[in-house]
Amino acid sequence: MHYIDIGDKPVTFALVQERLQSPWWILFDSLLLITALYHALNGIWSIVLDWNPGKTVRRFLGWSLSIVGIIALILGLYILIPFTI
Amino acid sequence: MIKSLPKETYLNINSGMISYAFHRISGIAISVYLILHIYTLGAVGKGEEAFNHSIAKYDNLFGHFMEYLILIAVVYHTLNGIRIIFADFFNMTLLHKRLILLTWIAFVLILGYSISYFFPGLSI
Repeated sequence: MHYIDIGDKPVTFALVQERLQSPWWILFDSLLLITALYHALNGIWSIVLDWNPGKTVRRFLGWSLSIVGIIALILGLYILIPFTI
Repeated sequence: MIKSLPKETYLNINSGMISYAFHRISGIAISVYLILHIYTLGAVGKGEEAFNHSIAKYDNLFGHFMEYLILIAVVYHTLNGIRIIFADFFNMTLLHKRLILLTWIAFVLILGYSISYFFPGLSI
């Protein structure tokens, strides 16, 4: 939930920072990011394969999805850093 | 200029086809949400106030409604995914129709329960 937390506290920087002091939550968030990105982009790749494109389009879309995934992964892990300090 | 659909898309529709269609649609919606999520949280690079502001932008009726749609998509995708795992790995392919009915019932129950968290007037 974007704004309402479980304990009815609003989601702010302080709330997330408090949670991300523990290394287990950092590990959990990183693993969730990697898993969700992989699952989402693999799903989109499966939809692309259902359209059965030719060789060039397939290679282009495959590489673009991989590059989007790598960029999103690096961005996501970079976003995690200010909370852990 | 609508291309007419092939016959196999509208004849002999069964519950498995409908589950698969909703699974795919909810998957696409969640992927779009993931990109938007990373983009929204990227404001942390500009400082703490920018981060709080960029999250607080979604705290209105429209934002809560969109969050409820995300909940619908994620809950359906999860329940259907668990059903697929059970049918594939625990040899429950003979119980297919019953599993699909179970997922739709669980889906409706979870949606009905969680609507009171998003719209603090309604509760079922």
